[in-house]
Amino acid sequence: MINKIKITPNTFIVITAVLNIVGLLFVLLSIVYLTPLTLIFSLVLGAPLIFISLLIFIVVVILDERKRRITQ
Amino acid sequence: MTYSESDLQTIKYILAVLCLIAITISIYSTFFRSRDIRKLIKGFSILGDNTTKWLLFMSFVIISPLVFLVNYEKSIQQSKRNDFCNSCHVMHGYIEDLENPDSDSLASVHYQYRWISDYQCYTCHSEYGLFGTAKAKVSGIGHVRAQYFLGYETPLKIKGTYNNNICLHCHGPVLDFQDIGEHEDNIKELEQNKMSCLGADCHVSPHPKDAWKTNDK
Repeated sequence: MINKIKITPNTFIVITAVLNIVGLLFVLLSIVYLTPLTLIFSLVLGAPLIFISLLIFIVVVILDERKRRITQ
Repeated sequence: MTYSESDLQTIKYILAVLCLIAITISIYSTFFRSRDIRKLIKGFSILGDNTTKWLLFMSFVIISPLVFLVNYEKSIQQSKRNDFCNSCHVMHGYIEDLENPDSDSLASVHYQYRWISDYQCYTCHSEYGLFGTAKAKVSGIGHVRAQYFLGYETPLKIKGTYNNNICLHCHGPVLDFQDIGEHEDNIKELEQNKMSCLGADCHVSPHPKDAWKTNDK
């Protein structure tokens, strides 16, 4: 079953988008309703999710570009 | 950098809009736009479409980190406000006393006469300098942990000894302070926190002793 799941750049982009959206929702919560708890959530959960999604996106784009150049 | 209240409100709305734009771009580019194109081109890769790639770049690399960083700066400043401290129930009594014009507690008098113009809680409960600010943030995280997860013991007590140098930072250079014999005689002990400014025949309590009980009403 696991072997049948094909991990493509698209899969990574979808994961990245989900992480980014969840991270942004935590940040949005602290923007709209700032309390100690929402601030902590924004810093502890929002920030890592946003920066992990950024890193994954950059890595996937670089690998994809390299692959395209090789195939060309 | 310090922002005025109206600036902070404007920044708040801009950040909320940017946040929604980034979320919309992410959802549209990843789930809707690419799905439509995929119908047209078999084996379509999201990154194969330049417009989608740039939209995602805008959202993931520019808007999202920018929103987080600006919101972080804004939130850190807003977290110095009294109403932020008041968002924990146990603080209600302390803030009520602070805002009570009939109260003669030290904190209230400092607030009523605006001897401290802004961020009165933060000013008296954070030490000066870079490490003072960092220490205040760390102890703030401890307060959140106590409020939401671990609980706290009542009556509330300050952790360790109150640092007199926070008082001396403002009062120390004032001539009226220096002219008082007790201050002059005990300045070394006060600076080294071997003696408290409060109690004995010196200064009254900063907060009413039962302020924490207001929460239970």
